[in-house]
Amino acid sequence: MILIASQQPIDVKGILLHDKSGGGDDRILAVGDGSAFTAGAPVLTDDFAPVDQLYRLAHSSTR
Amino acid sequence: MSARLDFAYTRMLSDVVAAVEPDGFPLDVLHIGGGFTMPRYLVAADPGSTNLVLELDPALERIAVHQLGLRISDDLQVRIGDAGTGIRESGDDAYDLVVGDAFGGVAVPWHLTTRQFIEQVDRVLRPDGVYAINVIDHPPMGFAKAETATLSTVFEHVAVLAPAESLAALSEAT
Repeated sequence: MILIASQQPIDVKGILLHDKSGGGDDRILAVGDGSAFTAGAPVLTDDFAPVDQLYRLAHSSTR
Repeated sequence: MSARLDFAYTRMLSDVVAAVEPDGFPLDVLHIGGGFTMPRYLVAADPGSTNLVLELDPALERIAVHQLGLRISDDLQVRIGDAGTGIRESGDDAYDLVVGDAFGGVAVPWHLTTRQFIEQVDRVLRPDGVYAINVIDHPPMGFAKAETATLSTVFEHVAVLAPAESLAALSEAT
């Protein structure tokens, strides 16, 4: 799947108009504020990169 | 040169490209990851477009050049190195489109998914620019939902383009 992001409104109709993928009109989901799709989903940040977490574990285990 | 795309995700990306510039005006494009399919497509289908590929693995570029006929040119440049640091070398408002197509196995490398990286993408995009990222996920779609939520913290508008059955799976997973 392709996630699309922009500061300007996304041209959903334009994307569907071209339709080289041949998927038809029911293949795009615009995600608005409070979307059930993203509700409760974590925001990914560098603070929680797996390597950092491993270092923290190693660090804490030496204390 | 003719332009044909076989994989469904590349055809979806081409739909996004066409919507970004329906009149065919040449685009400045930054590619995160060097599958080289989309850069070559854009060179063929959108003459005058510029394409910079940030690719970690030099072997991938060698294979593309020597075995798959990739031609490096003024319109298709490759910079070997980590995209997470390479993007910081790009200027502000430099691109119309950023295409994310980087994978380690079937997963997007973590540091290319985070809000901090996405802020860099936003910085290099022009105000009306578009970021399109290819992701792979399966029910319960934890990564796709998290990456969409993360994109939404940086960009005003976010959409998911996928086959109808995948969108149905996304909805069922909520």
